Amino acid sequence: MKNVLIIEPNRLLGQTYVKSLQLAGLEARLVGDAQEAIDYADTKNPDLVLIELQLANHSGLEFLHEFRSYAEWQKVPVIVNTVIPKQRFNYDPQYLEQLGIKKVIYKPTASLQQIIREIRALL
Amino acid sequence: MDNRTHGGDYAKMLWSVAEHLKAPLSVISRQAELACLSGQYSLDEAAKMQTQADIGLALVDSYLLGLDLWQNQTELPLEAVSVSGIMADTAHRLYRYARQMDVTLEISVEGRFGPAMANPKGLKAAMLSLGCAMVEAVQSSQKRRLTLAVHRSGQGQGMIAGIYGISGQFNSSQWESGQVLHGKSHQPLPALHGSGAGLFVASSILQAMGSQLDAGRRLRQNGLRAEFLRSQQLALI
Repeated sequence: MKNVLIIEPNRLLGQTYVKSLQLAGLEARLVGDAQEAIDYADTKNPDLVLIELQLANHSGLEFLHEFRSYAEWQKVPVIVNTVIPKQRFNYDPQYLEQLGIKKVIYKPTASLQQIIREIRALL
Repeated sequence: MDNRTHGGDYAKMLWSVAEHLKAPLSVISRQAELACLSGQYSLDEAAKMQTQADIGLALVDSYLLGLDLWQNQTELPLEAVSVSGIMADTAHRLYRYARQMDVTLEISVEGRFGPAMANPKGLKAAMLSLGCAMVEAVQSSQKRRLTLAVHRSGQGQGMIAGIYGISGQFNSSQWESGQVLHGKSHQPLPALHGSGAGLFVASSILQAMGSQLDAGRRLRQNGLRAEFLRSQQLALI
């Protein structure tokens, strides 16, 4: 079964994502911050990462830089699911590509079904 | 501390509060959706929760835009946009919300219009904000019908986009008086229940694109509307 790592600081929202992915037949693990994500990925390679960029202590982008520095995680696709509105999300597309970010979703308006669709499209 | 500092501090606080509201509203919406998907609640119950939360989230974004524009006194860049397309999109986004409030929505586009000069993102936010406020305003009245209309301006080269359906008296002087009272009164517009926040946010956004929200009347319905200049680009062809 495909395994999705969800990095989401809002626990309730994260648990909702986990349950919806489980309903959709996917395995999902929720972590709240970058360090927990690295610790988890050490034990079980994720097939996809769903990440909020606004994390405590380390930003999601810092996490992705570190994540990409490990050979075994270089090809894992990433979906950014963030509260940062599109007009403030001014990152260079090449930069996003380097970090393996395949899709950026605006979290407040993204339904569970949309998120599941995007994940399935990449797995 | 002078008034500008006070005003600036309150605006910052409001901004932070509005940003924060996205979190609980997102949780409510996604939980309702999950309840729907898993069959935990009836479709109807879950859909109501989700729609209310989704509208709340969309409004928060509109409010933040209005607040940014008001605080920084910036202008929105204009481009040629299809106003009737944006009104149709607004009606689509409002539809479920209006239905839950037992309000009928109609779209009326009188004639064929080319593009007008507006800011597409700002116009969408303004019309959604205005539409939600109007749904809330009319849902307690006996005639629960709103018309989202695009029609010619009586003068000159403009076109008008408006939302009409307020029962009872509503005119320019009440609208002007409401703008003075808003932020101080729980009900600045007697014809509309509630704070009318969405109307004033829409007004702020429209001003930033060189337009203005005014009271108006169309086919025996009172409402609020804004005028836009037609784009001259296609006139050269």
